[in-house]
Amino acid sequence: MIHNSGTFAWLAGDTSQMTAVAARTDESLDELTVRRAQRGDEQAWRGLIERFQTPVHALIWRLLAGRARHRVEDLVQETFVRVLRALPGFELAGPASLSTWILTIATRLTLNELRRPELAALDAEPPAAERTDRATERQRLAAAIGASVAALPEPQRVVLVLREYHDLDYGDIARVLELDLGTVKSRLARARTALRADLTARIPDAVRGLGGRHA
Amino acid sequence: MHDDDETLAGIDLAAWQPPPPPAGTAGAVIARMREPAAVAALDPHERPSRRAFWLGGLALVAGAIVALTAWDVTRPARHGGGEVIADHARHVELNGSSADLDPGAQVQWERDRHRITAHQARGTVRWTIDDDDTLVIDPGGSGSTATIEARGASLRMEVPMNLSDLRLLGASTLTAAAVAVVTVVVYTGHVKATSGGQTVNVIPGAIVELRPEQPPQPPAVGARAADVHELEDQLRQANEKIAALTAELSARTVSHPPQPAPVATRPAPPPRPTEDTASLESPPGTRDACGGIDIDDALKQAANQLSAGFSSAALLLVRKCLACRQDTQMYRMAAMYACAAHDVAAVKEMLSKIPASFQPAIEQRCRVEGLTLGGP
Repeated sequence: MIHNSGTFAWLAGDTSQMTAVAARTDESLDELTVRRAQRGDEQAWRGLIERFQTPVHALIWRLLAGRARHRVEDLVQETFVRVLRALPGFELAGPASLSTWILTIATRLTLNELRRPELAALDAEPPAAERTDRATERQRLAAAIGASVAALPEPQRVVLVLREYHDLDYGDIARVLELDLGTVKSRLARARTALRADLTARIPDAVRGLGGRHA
Repeated sequence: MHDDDETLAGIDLAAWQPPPPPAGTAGAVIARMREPAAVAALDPHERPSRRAFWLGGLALVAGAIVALTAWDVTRPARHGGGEVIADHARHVELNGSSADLDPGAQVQWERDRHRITAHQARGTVRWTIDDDDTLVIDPGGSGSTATIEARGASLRMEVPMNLSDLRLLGASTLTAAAVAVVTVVVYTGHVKATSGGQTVNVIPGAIVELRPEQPPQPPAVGARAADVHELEDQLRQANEKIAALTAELSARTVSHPPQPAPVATRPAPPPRPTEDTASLESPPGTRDACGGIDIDDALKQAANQLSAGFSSAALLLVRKCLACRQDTQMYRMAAMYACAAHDVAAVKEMLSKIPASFQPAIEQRCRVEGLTLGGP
């Protein structure tokens, strides 16, 4: 199991990584703002939340994939509460960027939520085929992708969403999910294959008719 | 980021996009971060400071009320009601307002024009109240005196157990008080919470708990039933130990009359740490020879890491602290963190150093985390 030995290198007394890796924050959130947020500056907190609420909301929405949509807003808020509480311990010099660290917290919180048995049932959503009369092809495709992603087993869905929609590389995904690199790669391969097969079954014309990679 | 894998080539994954995030998240989160100050009690003796201003405004308000009443009467009347026991997540439309029920929630409601009176017997419900509507919720059983009043608001209310259920079960008043905590989380709008004869305004982002015969208050940290039982166990054991020591002291006092205290020349070396005395060994917050770690600070960091989902990092921190201080409390904490980290070997290692009376609680925690400890 890989633990966050980079981000929390000081916990293990390992300072070599701290000097080897330059301080990384996200381009749109300067280091000063992060440091002010670490000291509890509410203005800086607001800046941090506004910078990251869109990706966090998108990640949670996609991971829930149709389950308990009413919980998305709760989970977004809870993510940021935990982020702000743990922020003083975040190492700017660690290998994980602030955004990856925040997405890690959002992911784990959502996975915990998904373990609640009552969330196993999907919220009612009309199947893709029933929407053809009132939606464009793209909306139909979106609905089909949503349904196919929701149908993936949770471990595959998480890896796929983090990789395809949130640009995390294999190493980051391994750290977020505390998996080894090989497991991440195999789960991703299985997820992609299953997604393509499911989509082909749902909307064969749309899948076969398109060329080139997605945007 | 894209790699060389072509499995999904030709599929426009970007078509699947979430809706935009709701507005006000930052404000709600920041309000939660300063929660203790979030509940403002209403001043029952509030008086107008500028009498003339109020009198002048009164005429305007009266006129507005007449106009609004006339407008209201002309609108289609909205009446009705119903009851839902949700066996799965349910969305219930209340003619403009709505309720989202978690599985297991039970709600009964009645609408009279713009006033909705609801009884939430149990479970978790998210209420969204239209600006025109006023919702009055009575949580728990028929004997409950708590109410929530909301207008143009969204909130979540959790009622863990029905008071009447408790009465049927024959639970004591004390148990009922410990269990029947109604939690209200306000997202937006105006919400008043009343219990124990006191009404408070709950601002967006705040959480309040309602207990029988007590005023609304922010949630107490670490006051779960399991924690209470654990603390009660500790207190009982401490009392037993005090009683035994007192008895022993009395016996010694009888057989050996007190002697004048000898002049101390040099402090005796501290006894070797044992399970019972180890907690007295290290004063809190010491920076000692264990890598210069401030134990209290490190434990606080560990709690934050656990809260953020980094259970392995939290366990690692507690292990470092264990190198400096070994006592039952530390081992119990390490065992709990090991449960959260799903580290079976660490759980077993810590359990072997914890008195048997504390072990069931930790095993229970591991089971909650989905961890099976198996054999010894």
